Amino acid sequence: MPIEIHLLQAMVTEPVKPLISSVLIYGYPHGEVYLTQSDRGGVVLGGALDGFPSYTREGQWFRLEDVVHSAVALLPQLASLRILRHWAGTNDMSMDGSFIIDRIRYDNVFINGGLCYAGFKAIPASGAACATLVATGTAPDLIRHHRLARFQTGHLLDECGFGPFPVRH
Amino acid sequence: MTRLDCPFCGARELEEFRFHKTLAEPGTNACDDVYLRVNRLTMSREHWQHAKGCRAWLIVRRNPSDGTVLDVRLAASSDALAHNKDSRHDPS
Repeated sequence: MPIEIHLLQAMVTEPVKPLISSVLIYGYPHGEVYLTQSDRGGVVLGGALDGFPSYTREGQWFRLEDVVHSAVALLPQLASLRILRHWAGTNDMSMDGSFIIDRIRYDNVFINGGLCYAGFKAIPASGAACATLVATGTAPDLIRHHRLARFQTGHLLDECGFGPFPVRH
Repeated sequence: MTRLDCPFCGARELEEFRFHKTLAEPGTNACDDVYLRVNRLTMSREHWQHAKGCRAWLIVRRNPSDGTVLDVRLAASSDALAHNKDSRHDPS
């Protein structure tokens, strides 16, 4: 399967009064941070992948430091907050950074995966498109190019020039 | 997994190393070599580079399910090269 499993860490601080009303994303060549504030007041932080395939769900300390450094550089007032929770989730990273929805060579077996970081956002639309493919046997326009065979035929999508290295997408 | 044992430099923090690619299974064709990943649960052979150290290219065998590093060798050492040669697709 043209998919690699990588870890992505996230963390939440103790709750504070309203501070951020949108999602802030700050990217630079060696890392990135995104942060938002939950309804309960905790600041939710995340950043880049850990950098190598893993199924452990144990985030690397250096990545946590990167994220926190970047967040404090962006909003210095965050430096006084304590982190309450921290976890690492599994990301199904495809080779070109785009998802795969297709039937595979066995009858009535389908693949819907490789959604990279976008799984949570893309699940409703990808689920509807996948359901149409299963029900009708033809892929709707939305997923027409997201074939499994695109890696063999050279029709990669949104490849960004990073090559087959999912950690860089 | 927080450290790797570089054959030149000894045990160093993981952030000094850069993961490059999981090595293909023996007998795969050129396209699969580039794009397919076998994703075995307990053993993965990978190219890493000691990018913030001696910059040597390494072949790391590790268990991606529990993070244990099984061994680290120089990619340029003769036994590693022989192992790589077995895993390449032979067009003849």
